[in-house]
Amino acid sequence: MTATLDRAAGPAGAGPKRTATRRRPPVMRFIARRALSTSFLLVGVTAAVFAVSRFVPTDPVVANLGTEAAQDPAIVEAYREKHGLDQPLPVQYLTYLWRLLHGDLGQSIQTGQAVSADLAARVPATVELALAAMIIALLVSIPLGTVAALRRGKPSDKAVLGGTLLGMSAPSFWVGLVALYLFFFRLGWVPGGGRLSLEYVPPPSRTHLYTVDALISGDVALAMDAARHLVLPAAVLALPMIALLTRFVRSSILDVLGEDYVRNARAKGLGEPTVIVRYVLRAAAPQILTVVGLALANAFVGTLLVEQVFSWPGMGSYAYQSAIRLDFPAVMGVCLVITVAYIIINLSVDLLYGVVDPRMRVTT
Amino acid sequence: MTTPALSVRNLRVSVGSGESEVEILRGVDFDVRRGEILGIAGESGSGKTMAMRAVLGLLPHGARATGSAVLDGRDLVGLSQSELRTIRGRHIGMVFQDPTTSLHPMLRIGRQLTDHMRKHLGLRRAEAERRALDLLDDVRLPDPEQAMGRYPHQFSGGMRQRIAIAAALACNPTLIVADEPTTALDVTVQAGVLALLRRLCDEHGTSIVMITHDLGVLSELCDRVSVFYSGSVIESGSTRDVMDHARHPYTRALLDALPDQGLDDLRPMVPIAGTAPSAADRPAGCAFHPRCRFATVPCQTDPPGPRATGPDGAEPHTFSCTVDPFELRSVVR
Ligand SMILES: Nc1ncnc2c1ncn2[C@@H]1O[C@H](COP(=O)(O)OP(=O)(O)O)[C@@H](O)[C@H]1O
Ligand code: SF4
Ligand SMILES: [Mg+2]
Repeated sequence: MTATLDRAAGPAGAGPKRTATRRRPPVMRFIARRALSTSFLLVGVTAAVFAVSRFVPTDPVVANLGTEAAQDPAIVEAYREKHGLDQPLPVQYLTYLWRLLHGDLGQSIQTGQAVSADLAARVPATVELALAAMIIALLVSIPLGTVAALRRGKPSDKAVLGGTLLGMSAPSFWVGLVALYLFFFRLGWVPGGGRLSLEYVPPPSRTHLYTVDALISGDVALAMDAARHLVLPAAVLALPMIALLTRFVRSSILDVLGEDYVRNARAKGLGEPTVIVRYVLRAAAPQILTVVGLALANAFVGTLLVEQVFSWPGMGSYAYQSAIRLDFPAVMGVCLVITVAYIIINLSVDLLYGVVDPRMRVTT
Repeated sequence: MTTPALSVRNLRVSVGSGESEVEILRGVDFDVRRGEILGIAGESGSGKTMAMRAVLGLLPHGARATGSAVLDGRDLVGLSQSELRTIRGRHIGMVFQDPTTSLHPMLRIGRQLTDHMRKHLGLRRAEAERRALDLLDDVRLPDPEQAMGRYPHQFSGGMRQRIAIAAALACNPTLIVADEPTTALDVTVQAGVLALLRRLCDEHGTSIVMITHDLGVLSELCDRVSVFYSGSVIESGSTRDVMDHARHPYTRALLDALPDQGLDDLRPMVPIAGTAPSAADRPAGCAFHPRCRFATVPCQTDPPGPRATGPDGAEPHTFSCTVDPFELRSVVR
């Protein structure tokens, strides 16, 4: 955790001074350069995942056919041929890449469906979960971190710091189980799992996020049901994000509080809420943005266990089940999606810097 | 004579408590008259900034102020923060040393010029923006319309300081405090900013406190001067009297240290022998005695009080030194 914190703190902390002197490339060149490095990254990730999948000591044939069927050479041969496992490794990889370029991620051994179809059905559920977690994390950590910074060294600040330390070290899986036990079994405040109760059918798809789609179609009861299903897994997923973000918001604000422009805002007689929100938080925004990107990316990985606990029909539980079944096409599909998600998040963060900090605006 | 715009009496600022209590300001007196520029001079660490922070109620955490600072008939020392917030930015404008750090890097100029106007004067957005355009024009910023939508980094240092001055001027305050406003600027633009302050003072009748450690700035710009040394005012009077007939050995040393007595060109203050004592280990008696060429034995124990010099009825010129001024003159020349 400290390592990631430091990594995030470095460039952001140096940001304002660095960018004052360095000129940014025009926006088109920026995107072109990104596209190039992104394709290298994708080739690298597929190669790495492919290599790992082929060198695990377990035989996927045995894992998927069962020990009995694996005894029959004819069945095994047919299976290997069907999935291309009889080809030399480089050929297998190139075939995979070729198909990938045509949007074909192969067929899941486990579900028998196209991996792309499986993912299309599941990724939106994960995106909804991760975004909800993000929103919860921001709503909690920005006020909490701000108050802690303003009360630096006081008992409330120490309590916040201690709490975040706890939050960072608590395993989500365990927290999820405890939360489920408490809020579902004991208190009955939330439904037990899934995205919707049985009596509801999903709303017409626009964004594929049930809460949003339900609201768009004007079905408030459906939106409420979707939200009730969403809130607990999202809160559990948000917990480590809250811990990380609160600490970061606190330290970013402490950095900014001593700045001349904050003293100047006070010398202008502005009220404390104005000074904090419009001047201090505004100045800390680029630093906070860096960690928001990092936390969101981590959340995608965090869904792996949280979705399992809450029977959330998303990519995380799909990845979990594919991994234990050695369903390589599916695992590779998930890895690709996570890689693409990282890339999109990073690109968005970089573009958002320009929105948040006028000094970093790329000029055309 | 009308009452001064700001009248500071026996202003003391201390930090820490009990054994570790340190007195940063030890009873400072000065007046800023209406429409004049008062120079506050002295080496770094002598308490110039702290004095004005005490007046504005913007002391660092843990520092306390006593004494009085009467602005337009109202004592600011001891006011609550919420009362002070109706005075800061409204009746006292502040210009900081470095406009690169004192303007918010991510807020448009228009916003930074108008937010306190809207609060203090109750103006609507459009009204405040119209006034801001006039202000930018007044400080001679080219193309005010466009400037309103820009960010500080899109301006040069000199232009930024003009913007900061416009912001300080926005609510038409009684007093503007400029804390070394040219120190961070290129030499080539310093004179322009000083001329701007002089013109604003003359045209609007705004009083200005000009904090500086630059004797050139003092002699060019200021009507009267208070010289600070280690938390006290050790000499004050009209700029001409203090420059031409300095009485205090510290002031004399500062002036003697100038390679050229012609002060027309801007010259930084050359440090004199020894170092300025910090507030924590200030010598007993006259705080200047370890560095003073004229120090006598009593100087080591008896703190000198202020005394007046010059002909009666003229502009008061006071200094704090126990040595007889006539005797002093004969030693120096
Ligand atoms: N935040 C602070 N806390 C305690 N002491 C301070 C603080 N800031 C300045 N001082 C002390 O106050 C004295 C006067 O400082 P200052 O007013 O900034 O000097 P000047 O503006 O004349 O250079 C110095 O001795 C300095 O060490
Ligand atoms: S009182 Fe003594 S030590 Fe202080 S300035 Fe005068 S002569 Fe020097
Ligand atoms: Mg200072």
